[in-house]
Amino acid sequence: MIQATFLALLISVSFAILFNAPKRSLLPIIFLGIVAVLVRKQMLEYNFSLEFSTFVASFAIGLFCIFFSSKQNIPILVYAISSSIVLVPTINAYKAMIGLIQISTHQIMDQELIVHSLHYSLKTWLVFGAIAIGIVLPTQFIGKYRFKIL
Amino acid sequence: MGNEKGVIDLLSQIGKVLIQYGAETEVVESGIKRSAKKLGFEDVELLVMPNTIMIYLSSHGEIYHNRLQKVQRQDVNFKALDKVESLINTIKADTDITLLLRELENESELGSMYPNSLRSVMAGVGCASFSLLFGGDLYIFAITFIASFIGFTLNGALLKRYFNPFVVIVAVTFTITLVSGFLSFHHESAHIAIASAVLFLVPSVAFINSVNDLIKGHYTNGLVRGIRGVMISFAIAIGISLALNILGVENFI
Repeated sequence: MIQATFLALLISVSFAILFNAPKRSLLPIIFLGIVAVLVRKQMLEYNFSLEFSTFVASFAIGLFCIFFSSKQNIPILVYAISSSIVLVPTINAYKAMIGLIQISTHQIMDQELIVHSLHYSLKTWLVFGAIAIGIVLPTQFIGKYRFKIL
Repeated sequence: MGNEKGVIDLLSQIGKVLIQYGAETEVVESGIKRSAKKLGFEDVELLVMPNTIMIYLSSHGEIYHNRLQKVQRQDVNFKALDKVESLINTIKADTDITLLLRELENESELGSMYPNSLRSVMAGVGCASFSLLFGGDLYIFAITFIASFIGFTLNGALLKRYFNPFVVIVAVTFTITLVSGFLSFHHESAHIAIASAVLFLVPSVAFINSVNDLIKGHYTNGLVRGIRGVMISFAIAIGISLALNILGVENFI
């Protein structure tokens, strides 16, 4: 728990500096990154799926972003992107890619491998979608940003 | 009146800078409309494409002035976004437009980055912390730090020479995978090192902006940004798989 908190702090600070975030937004970004990691960790411990727990974590980021953005007058994007990096499913993406390479090179009859790499690539895209939609959805509750479908 | 030319130059410069530094379409539109309103022009129409802006400004409903502005490049720089937003907030009806325009055109000051050495170290620290989060040990941590430090330095050096960004990404991921693969050859969690060392290239801005634009009704921009994100992901995958074909895929499952 303490280790995860500390790692989330390091990750969100370093990516905020990579994206050149302004100095006064660094503290909120650290807070958001830690919240995201802890929420996802707790939900995974209660046996929710990875997709759903990522969605809830990024929804929490989106909600807090609105608050910080209206307080400090910085666009929502600055907080959302730097802090949602901690949720990216790299290992799944890597496994999907390796599986596809293996299928295409030799093991064409290995059905277990095909199913595995399909599973991992689906999971990767769904988690990516969950991050993006979870961040964007809360901003639609504010009147200023609402968009009407005809 | 008579200063419509100055106003339209200012508005198109605001839009150009906002698009260039990675703002979503809604932010661009609202920024331009807000500043036009503050300068006393209520009637403004906009067309924001992924790399062009078209502005129509009417003066008292008599003549329409228009201007087409091309955006040269797109990168991520949140400090510049913040500065432009605060400049927009300071605009009043009697602001000196030429002074403001000069301030917006001075891109080297507007988009000032953190020092390059700090950014390289931070890229290493961020990717290495990811490898610990996924269950690596301290050896994997060190390897990931070295690999992504080298990769980020190479990335900056290549982008400075204006190579194609996708070619740069392929070259950088190839180098990172070779370095981390050689250093962690018979380690059981070698795949964690490779997967987390390329993380600073992940196109998170493109994907999140794409969903942002699609949900808010800017379908063309959303689709273009999404395709850009997919192309960057494929470039990363190509770089990794080229290097793994040299090192042997079976060693890194």
